[in-house]
Amino acid sequence: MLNELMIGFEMVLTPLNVGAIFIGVAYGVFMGAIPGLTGTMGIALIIPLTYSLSPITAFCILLGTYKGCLFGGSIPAILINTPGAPAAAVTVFDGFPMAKKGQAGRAMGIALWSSVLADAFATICLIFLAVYLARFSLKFGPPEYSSLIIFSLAVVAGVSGDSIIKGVLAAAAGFLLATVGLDPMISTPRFTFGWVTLFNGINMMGLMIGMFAVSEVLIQSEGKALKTTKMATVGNDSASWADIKYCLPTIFRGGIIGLLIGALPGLGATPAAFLTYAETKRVSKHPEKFGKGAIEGIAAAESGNNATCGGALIPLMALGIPGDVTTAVLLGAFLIHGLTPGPALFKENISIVYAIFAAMLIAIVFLPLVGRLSIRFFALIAKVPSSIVYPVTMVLCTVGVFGFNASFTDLWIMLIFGVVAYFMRKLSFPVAPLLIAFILEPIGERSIRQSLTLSDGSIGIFFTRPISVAFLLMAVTAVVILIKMKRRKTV
Amino acid sequence: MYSQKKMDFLSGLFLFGLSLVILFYLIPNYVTESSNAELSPRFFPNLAATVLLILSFFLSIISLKQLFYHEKWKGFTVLFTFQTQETPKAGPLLSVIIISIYFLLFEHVGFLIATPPCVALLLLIFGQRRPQRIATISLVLTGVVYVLFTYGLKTILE
Repeated sequence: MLNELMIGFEMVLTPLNVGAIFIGVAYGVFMGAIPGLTGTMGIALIIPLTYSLSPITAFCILLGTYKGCLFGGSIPAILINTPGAPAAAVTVFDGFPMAKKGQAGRAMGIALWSSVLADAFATICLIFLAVYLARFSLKFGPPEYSSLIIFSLAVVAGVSGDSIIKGVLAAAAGFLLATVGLDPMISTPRFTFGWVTLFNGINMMGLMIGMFAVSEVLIQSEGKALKTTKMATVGNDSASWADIKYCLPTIFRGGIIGLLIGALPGLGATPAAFLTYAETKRVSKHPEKFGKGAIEGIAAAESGNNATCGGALIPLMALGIPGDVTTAVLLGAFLIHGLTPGPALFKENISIVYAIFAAMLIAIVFLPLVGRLSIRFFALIAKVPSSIVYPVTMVLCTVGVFGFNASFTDLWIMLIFGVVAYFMRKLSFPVAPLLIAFILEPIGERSIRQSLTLSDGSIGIFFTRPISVAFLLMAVTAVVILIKMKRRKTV
Repeated sequence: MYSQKKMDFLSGLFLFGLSLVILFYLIPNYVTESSNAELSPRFFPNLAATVLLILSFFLSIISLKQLFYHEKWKGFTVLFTFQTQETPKAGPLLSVIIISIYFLLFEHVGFLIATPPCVALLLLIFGQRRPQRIATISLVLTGVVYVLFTYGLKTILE
């Protein structure tokens, strides 16, 4: 295996390929940092430019872009309370409070190093465990997915802030909103009011940017003397070695959760970031600091998010199954360049497989370099007065959401949910559980209904499969622990 | 604390009413029933709406109980009267109106014409008063975003 990896490095270490990785990472960070522009869009836009390149050079750019995008989303999440990508929504919880305290540079540094370390861990696991993990992920059928989603929903209360009732109310609202559109099993319309645009459901990008960015713009528009107020003070603060050392267990936890969630087709980076955050908060000695600027919170979100990169490539490369939308686009790129991912890839094109692994490792080396430069560049935002930043943010969010589907309806969705989130925040309802339930509902509903179809309506299917039972037990344990913690707090 | 509990009571009441509308009007009329699947398409909307109904009821009752035992409690009429500091501010309302006009203009006259006046108005709301700065930011932002998205990212902003 090490021999093959060395051959892979030999193939990749040419000026053209190394330059391609650098350009890919820089482009990815830039794309990720613009609210509304996702990694999927970033990769899709750059694929046509790779047609004339050799497959290895093409993958150097594409994988660099993938990694860059995952980190880039954290920059606006920390600086302007606007996640650049859905997975960065969790980074907002502690990133923006830190920026408001004048620690934006430290927050972005922690985000960067958590991303790099978790990504390195996941990539090394990908190299050594790809085939075994891919076999394990094949054991996940609809009942296992259902139980995993039930477990995820059970820990929603962990990000509910002070009131569990308000958190679960927000989650129920998110769950309900996610049912808008065509029924996932039999395609009958639900809450579409005869409007074809709603057949695909409520656009997630519009909802997410509305809830975080537009609501923030509205809240800031209340303020007086905004002209002289700065967004955040970056100054010379940066993440210290002590910070990184303190966050290492969290990063390692995020690496494992991100790797496993990424390896399961259909889940993606957002549940990974959220689950790592919830789990880190649960085991933390200071859970009360979460949501108010805890460095572990940023480390958890970013490590969980970035580790999915290595995880998502496991089913893609070993089985030919894309783990999420971004890897589905990557699958298209593989096919365009004449490679068919799956078990045959490891037999017929083993040198290219290891060249891809080598390119991923080199991209991890470039990420801190590009990341530090981009932090300095984007930190300039923090020096601009709020009176300029928020109108500019509004325009960027508008074009970002519009550019996603070229749909004006998405813009109205963004505004409506911006107003909804504004009132939620005013009334102290947490916004995060709504978004998390909105993201998890389609996966959960489809899995539960598929499971019941498989078992002819018997719920016994969830209790007879070991992995499913394990997740259900974890869900029950999580609820019990959360209730106990809440009681201890009130006593 | 007192004001917060009052708002909790009212938001619980609002959500309770909303969940009743969803359960007894929207779901029966706008979610098609089907017997072709193991679970009805109405199952998950009903589940979410029921959770909303039950928890919003609890939120109202718990808040009301806490208000009732509070020293400031002066009877039920206090729940529906608002003091000056509780009234909404003009900034968010104006912002929503400007953003709505921006979206309408964007749809009908395009990005290039819609953006500069709307950015200028938002800058005014956010406290910018120097006309030169407002004009420069509005025009430069529109130009940069247009070039970046249209030529760089191949997004049609029309």
